[in-house]
Amino acid sequence: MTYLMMGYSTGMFRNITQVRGAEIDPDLILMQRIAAQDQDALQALYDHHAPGLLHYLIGRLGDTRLAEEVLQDTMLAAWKNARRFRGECRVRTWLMTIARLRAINAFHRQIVPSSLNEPFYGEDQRTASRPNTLGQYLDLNAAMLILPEVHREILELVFYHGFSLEETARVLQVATGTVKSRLHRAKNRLRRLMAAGNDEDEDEPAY
Amino acid sequence: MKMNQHIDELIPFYVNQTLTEEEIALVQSHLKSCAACRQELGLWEEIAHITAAVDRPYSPSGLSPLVHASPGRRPSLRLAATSAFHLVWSQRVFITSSWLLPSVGSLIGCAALIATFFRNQAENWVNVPLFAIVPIGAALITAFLDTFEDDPAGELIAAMPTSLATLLFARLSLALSAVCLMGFIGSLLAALVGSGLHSLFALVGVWLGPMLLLSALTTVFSLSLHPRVASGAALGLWGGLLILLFAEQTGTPLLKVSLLWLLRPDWAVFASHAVLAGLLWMGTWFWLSSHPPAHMPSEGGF
Repeated sequence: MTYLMMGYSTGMFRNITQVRGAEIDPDLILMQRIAAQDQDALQALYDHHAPGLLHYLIGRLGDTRLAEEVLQDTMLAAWKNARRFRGECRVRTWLMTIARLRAINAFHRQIVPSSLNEPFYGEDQRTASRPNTLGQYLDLNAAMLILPEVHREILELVFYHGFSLEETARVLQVATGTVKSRLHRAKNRLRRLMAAGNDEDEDEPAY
Repeated sequence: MKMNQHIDELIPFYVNQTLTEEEIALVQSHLKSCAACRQELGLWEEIAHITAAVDRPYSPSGLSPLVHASPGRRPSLRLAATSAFHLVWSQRVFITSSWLLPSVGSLIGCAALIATFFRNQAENWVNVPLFAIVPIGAALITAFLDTFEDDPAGELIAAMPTSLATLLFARLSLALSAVCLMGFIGSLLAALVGSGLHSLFALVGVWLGPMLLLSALTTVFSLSLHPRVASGAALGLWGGLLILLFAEQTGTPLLKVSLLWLLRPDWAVFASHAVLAGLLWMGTWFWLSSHPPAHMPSEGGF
């Protein structure tokens, strides 16, 4: 409650908060305090967002230790760049965008990538083609597990983290049209994986 | 049909409830009339359900203190105070170890000598700061270079196929070159401020010889005994010399022999210093190849 009053009294983010209606995103006030080098605010931001970010990072990197490192790296970036945050998006979206870029860097920096056959961004032909060759029928749960990384990522951003169309596009740094078509392809891929022996349009690009 | 495709693309965001009210109304009215999209909705809801249930049973282990400690644009006063305290507190090593006397002696000698020469405006006062600071700086850096404790490069050096002697002397020449460069810049400034550019080489001669000799002595001590002993010895030796010079300059010489010639540039003096240092280093090189010191990484190329 004190945070909210502080936000009103300074008025620094007034126009931002008005854009989103009457409700005030407490994260914005936290960002303002972080910009003023308030360590408690950074801790609060971490407490609020670390679980979600870590969930995303482990999913992308497949390595909890590396994911933790990237999480700290992301918080450090937030600490240093809080002043540059202009409130063009939610703090959550901003943090996720940073985390994703840092994760890609960390992934490429690894001397031995955790899974050589599955690049951070790319088609995983190995797993994607397996069910069809075996002629197995998969339920949706199993199909999700072998979905290419690029599709799993976008599904998690939309359905686990609940980002809107524009926010997803911002995190992935692509156009909203690309988000739509990527989701469409993810859904088709899932449907195809669930249909036994059906390998039509196998050459369809991942994104 | 085109309209249908457009709305179809909004269904995932209808499911995750991030659409605006108008969009929701649009999707809902379309769903009533389109069986295909209702089927799509069912699939998306199932996908959303499974995706949201993806469990990664790890919870964040806490914000690293390093994040706070890393410099932001404007460090808080508390952070600055903590850092300052740690910096001061870490200096207790000089009180508890054998470094206390030598380092205090060095510091006092250095300050006193510079102050005396500066106040008296003695003819060669610009020489004194360079003479007092550059050699001991180089010696301390030399001692540091020879220890591999807490040295990030130590592990790398241990893993290298190159011989330890080669690596050590490569490190040493790099570091001493850097010190020489700084000393030269200092001399240039001193020449410009004090006695004029024509005295530049004389100014360099004052500190270069002692620097080489003291560094060579430090190398010998740190490799044969221990870097800590070497830095203590260098500080003691240099502090003592500075105090003797100070005493002589103030008119109460502690020794019968005058030492002030050390402060006057002389090519013969410089050459003898340099030759002696060279001999010490050459001896160390040969000795190193048969006697790897105990505090050095044992694996490596020797």
